Amino acid sequence: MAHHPPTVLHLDLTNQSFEVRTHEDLAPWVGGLGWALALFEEYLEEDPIVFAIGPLSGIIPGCSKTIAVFRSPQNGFLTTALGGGHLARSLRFAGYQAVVIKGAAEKPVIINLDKEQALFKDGAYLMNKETGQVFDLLLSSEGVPGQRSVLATGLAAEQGITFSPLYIDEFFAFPRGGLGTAFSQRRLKGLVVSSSGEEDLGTLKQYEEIFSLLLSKVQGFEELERRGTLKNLEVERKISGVPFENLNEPNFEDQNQLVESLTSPARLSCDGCPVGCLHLVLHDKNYVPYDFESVVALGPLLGLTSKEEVVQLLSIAYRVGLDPTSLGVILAYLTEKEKLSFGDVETYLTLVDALLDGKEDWAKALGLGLDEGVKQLGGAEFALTLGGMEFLPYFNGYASILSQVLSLSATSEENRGFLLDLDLLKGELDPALVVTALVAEEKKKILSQLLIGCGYLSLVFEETATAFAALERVGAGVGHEELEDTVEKIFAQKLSLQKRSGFNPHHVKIPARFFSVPSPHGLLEEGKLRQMIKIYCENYFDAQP
Amino acid sequence: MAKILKAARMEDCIGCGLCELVASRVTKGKLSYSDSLIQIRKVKPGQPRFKAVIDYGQKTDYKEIRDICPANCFEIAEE
Repeated sequence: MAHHPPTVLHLDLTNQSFEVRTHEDLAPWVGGLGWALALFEEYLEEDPIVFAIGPLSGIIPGCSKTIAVFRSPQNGFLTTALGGGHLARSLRFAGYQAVVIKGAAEKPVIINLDKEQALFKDGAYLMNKETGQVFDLLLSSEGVPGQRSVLATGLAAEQGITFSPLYIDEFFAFPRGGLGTAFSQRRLKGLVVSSSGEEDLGTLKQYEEIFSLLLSKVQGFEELERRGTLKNLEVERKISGVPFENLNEPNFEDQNQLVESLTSPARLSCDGCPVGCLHLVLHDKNYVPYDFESVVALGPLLGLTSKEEVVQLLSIAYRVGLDPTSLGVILAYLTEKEKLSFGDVETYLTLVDALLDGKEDWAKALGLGLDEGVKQLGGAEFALTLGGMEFLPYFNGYASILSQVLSLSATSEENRGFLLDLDLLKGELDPALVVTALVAEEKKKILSQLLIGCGYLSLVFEETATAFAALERVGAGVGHEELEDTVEKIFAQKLSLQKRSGFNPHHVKIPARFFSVPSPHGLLEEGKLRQMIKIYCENYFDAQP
Repeated sequence: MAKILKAARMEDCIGCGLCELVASRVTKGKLSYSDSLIQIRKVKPGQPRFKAVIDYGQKTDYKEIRDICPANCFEIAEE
């Protein structure tokens, strides 16, 4: 039995009030995703946004993520997002394992959090500004330098564009799903978490042992350190899984050495992680973060392969607060729909301005996301969207697509089909086997998300023995079988909450484009993918209340 | 001459904060970022650059702190 009940900060935006409560009832849910889903379910009717960390957060190398659970403004379904930066440690040392946000403010607010304290402040001075300016202002006026984490929304979120991320500590983000927009809908402009507390673990020697063990494990990710997540682009090019020009082609000639030219010495780590996988590139004297997904979406997917062009688009997306992956998929769709030329960066910059402006009908429609846009504009067969969210820009095969169809992954960090597709290249593709393997990977992911480890270090944190040992040594021990049983229950709970939020895998439209371009597995068959969805529903989804 | 911890290569710092966490552990036997003898702070907003503020009013030459840095920013040297 776990003995680590979380202390939860409840924020009521409507009344601008807060309450701190220890939730003894949540102790069996271990942490992270377990706590976040339980809290989301408890306050489901109030449409909450829940953040949670885990027992290892902020004190164990690589356990640097905070999980957010909310209804996505893009599709209305239950969505999870992982964010890094200083947030996990700041929440821990402010004394909170989770935060539940309910209600909506009348005017833009920011909230300054510390131990047993939540100050609601006027956020109007931060409105209508680019992302960098918002952070300049917040960092110069709120919290103690070096001992805080700062969350803020971007301009696009204020405009009601549904695919706007929530930024963390300037360069990190909760990407995808539109958490920035969800904040803006509640007129919450920013959140500052100060980490002034301290902890006495009482079992320092045991802690030091597990700290050293996990440190040695997370130190082995040299390629992730050197190239960031962009390392995946090399892998994808080798297997011809890079969608080029709205997936009219499954690969591109890297004549401009996109990967090499983008590899940057400027990088950042989340707290407690020695890897430093967030890479930044300098553009017009400003640093811009990039990763594998954003580079492919705003590069090859649009027919752009030179660093300068891709960085121009990365920069504008960051400045105005648009999710770069979603933006790239939408621009690729527009290029094909309007018969524009792929690879014309000037056109894309103009389209981004118009999208943000939101005056034209197409911009209004696509500001709600590609799925909504297609309903009004047509072109569903080449609109690369799955389940109300723009697809992840790689074309590996059934498993990575299935994971998105089933709404199990909005980012590559969470998409367990990505690597599974590579493994499946070696053997015969049996639909039942793909489903079984994907669900097994999902359950491993849940284990990591209880702790809550970084998804890019999944090899470390998805191992039961490691999880078990780590929890025990920080005083949050849970029996081996109980841990596995908890993972099963959380998987079922997640599916149940998806269902209650209106999601149904049978209703997900799959663009015909996916079945007309060869993947690394050859041409994919819609019938086979539908069979996988059917098997999944019969065995896992339909049984949930 | 007494030896001290020096932040010699902060241009390589990635802001992971492992030094802050380890410093509080080895000096005070507890976990804290705010009560650590090292504070890692951004040089200025918008830049991925950091400075280390070290409290030299106490012993600082801990090899555990020097060795934990993944970017090898620290060295122990004479004052």
